Amino acid sequence: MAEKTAELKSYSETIGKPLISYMISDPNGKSVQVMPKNPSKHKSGSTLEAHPTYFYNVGTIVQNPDSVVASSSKNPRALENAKQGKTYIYRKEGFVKSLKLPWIDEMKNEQTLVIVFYGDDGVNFTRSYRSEIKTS
Amino acid sequence: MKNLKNIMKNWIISYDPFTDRFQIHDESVYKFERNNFLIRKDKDITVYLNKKSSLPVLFEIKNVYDKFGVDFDNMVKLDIIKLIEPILSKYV
Repeated sequence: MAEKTAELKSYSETIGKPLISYMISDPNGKSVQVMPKNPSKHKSGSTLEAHPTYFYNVGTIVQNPDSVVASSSKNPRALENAKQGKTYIYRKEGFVKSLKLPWIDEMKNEQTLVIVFYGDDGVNFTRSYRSEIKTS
Repeated sequence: MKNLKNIMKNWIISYDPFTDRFQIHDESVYKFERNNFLIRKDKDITVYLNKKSSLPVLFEIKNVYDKFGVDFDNMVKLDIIKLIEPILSKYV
């Protein structure tokens, strides 16, 4: 059974750490590998999302999300991936604010999404993650 | 609005193929509660306008691939802006 409340790693604990993938457990106890975003494949990625404090805490969203929905995207890349497994979108509100990053004073209307792929071969990993404005 | 392309040029964008939802917004959206914005919603498009200035501060487009038939993840920001501007200009 995965832990219910995932503990956040602090700024000082994570600053300067190279982004190396790590394992977490989802709420169903399945292992998921948290992968760093590849800047060449994620043009819309922000510097915040590439920060080690963000990266080393993004796994806590998979451990303890506010909601989880299956991807229903018609994007060809998503459809291609659907042939090899299922993709779920884990969502958490106020994630960035909870990181207490020293240069961020205010952070309203924010939600972070983590895209997790569950392969038919049993290999599970994050496809992507991003922060955005919560509009609904 | 003539300067919409220029306004959006400096905004933050986010998109991924698995949600197929695109957002482009000014950084100020993070600083104010939602009731500070005038919100216009269509089926797949949401627009936030600054209540005081009436200037847009956020556009959201859902089901991007259905609407445009291209993968925004493989496009640079300026090309995306050129593509969406004619549609979004109707909302401001």
